[in-house]
Amino acid sequence: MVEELLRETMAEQADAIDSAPDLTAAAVRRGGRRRTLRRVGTPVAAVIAVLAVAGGILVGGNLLSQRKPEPPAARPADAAPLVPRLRDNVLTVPGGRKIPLPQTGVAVYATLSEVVSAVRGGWLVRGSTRVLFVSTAGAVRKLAEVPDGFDGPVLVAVPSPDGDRVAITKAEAAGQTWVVDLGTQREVARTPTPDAYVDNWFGNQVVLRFQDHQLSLWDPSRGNWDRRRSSKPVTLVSGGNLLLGYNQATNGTYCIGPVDPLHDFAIGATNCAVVFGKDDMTVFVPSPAGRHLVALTSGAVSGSYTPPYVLSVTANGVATGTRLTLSGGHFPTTAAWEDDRTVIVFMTYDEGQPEPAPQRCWIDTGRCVPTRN
Amino acid sequence: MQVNDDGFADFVAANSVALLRTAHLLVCDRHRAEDLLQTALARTYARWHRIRDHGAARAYVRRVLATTAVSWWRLRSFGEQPVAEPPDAEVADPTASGAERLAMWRQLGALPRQQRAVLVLRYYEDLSEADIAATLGISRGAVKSAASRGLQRLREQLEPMERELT
Repeated sequence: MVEELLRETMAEQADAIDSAPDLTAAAVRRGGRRRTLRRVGTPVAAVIAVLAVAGGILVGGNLLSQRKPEPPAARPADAAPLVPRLRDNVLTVPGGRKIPLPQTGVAVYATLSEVVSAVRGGWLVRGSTRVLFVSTAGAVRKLAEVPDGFDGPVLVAVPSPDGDRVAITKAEAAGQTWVVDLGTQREVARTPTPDAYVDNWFGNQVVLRFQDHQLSLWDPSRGNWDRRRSSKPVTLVSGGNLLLGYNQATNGTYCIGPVDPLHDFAIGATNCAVVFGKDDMTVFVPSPAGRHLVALTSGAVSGSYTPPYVLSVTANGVATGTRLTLSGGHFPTTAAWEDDRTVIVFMTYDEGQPEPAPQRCWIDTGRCVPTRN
Repeated sequence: MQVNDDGFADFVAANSVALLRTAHLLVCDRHRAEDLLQTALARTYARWHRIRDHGAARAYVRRVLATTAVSWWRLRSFGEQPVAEPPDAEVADPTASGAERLAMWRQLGALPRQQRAVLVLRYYEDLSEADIAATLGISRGAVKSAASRGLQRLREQLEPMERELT
């Protein structure tokens, strides 16, 4: 009887779960961040990695490909990181100014996965329950919010490559995506149908992902709805004028490379770099100018971690570059770029313990040094 | 952090293993299950002060687990990718029955999410059709239909293997 076998199977699988998940706040930071970052790395990272993450930290991993990177500042190697950080609902911006954010009804868990991105005129704080624009003057404006206690699906927000706009999808609104001009903080466009969510940007167009995981392009300025779809499942890791993504190769490893959004979102075999195995969880954080990606990889099954490494991005593909040499015994959890050659790597830590100093790494040499927190 | 609010931390400590087991069956992956449970607990925490009967909190979390697992939206966040073959699972028993359960586990993971959720609630949580309908927010007819189609698909997929084993 299939029912009996089903019961036995589920009981056996359930019994294999013999320990509680690590759900303390710090653990949510530790493990949740890792997973969330992977998402951001995926579609927005899932960005998403969309993901991205934070626990209190988080970082602007958006691709401001139309901006020139800031030149490295002449400052001590261990100077405090010049990246925005979010902790306990307070945004600390480069320079050290602290900006309290509005209280939220889901302060403990949901906000741990919020991401901070540098955009035109300030910073964008985005998570599954709210999207905030924080101006350089310190003014905070809610662009989208999920009501306290709302049980339904969540928000996804992705800033445009130039940092001028943000595309937001809210399932409460039946999955429609709208674009907000960050200069005026007003909606300027909305998708005609509610069956997709924002995954990334390609130039001035929004990459939408449908329920069946297929991708399509939407031009917010013209309302065009390009129904060309992806031919194979692909996870996008960065947008801009060059769309990067990875897919699963036939041998179980993942291959990252430029995605062709004008045809079928396929990754060409000749410009694809195999970077991680199916058991790994990897987060990709693009540099400000989009010339590099830092990859943070952990073995999802073995629990082991490998040192972060840098991928160089060219018009023809992606190549594995420098491996970063971190000091200390903590695991890397996420990263943020100070400029196109310097990246800050954040570490895991346990609740009640002091946070390990983030480490500043130079991608030309792979050298890393702890910074002053 | 506010995790000690009014017994919430105690609730998590007392129920997280059981809830994680259910989450594991719903998404067929330990890591995604932890993500799913984390999401469900976040939503529960947001409403904790409104849940008068904390004894019913587990049912509430179970409902959030099931509805979230069925939601394509949340699965996007998991980075779920359609694959030609269901994901591999640990193999603990090389015997015929172990192989059958492994095959069942793989086919369960390949079922449409709503069918999988209905079967988990029916055959693991032992909920009635009415309770499943309330948990998932669907009609009893939809529960019957999903269970029937899910079981039929499992039979179809597993019969060739049973014949081979016998």
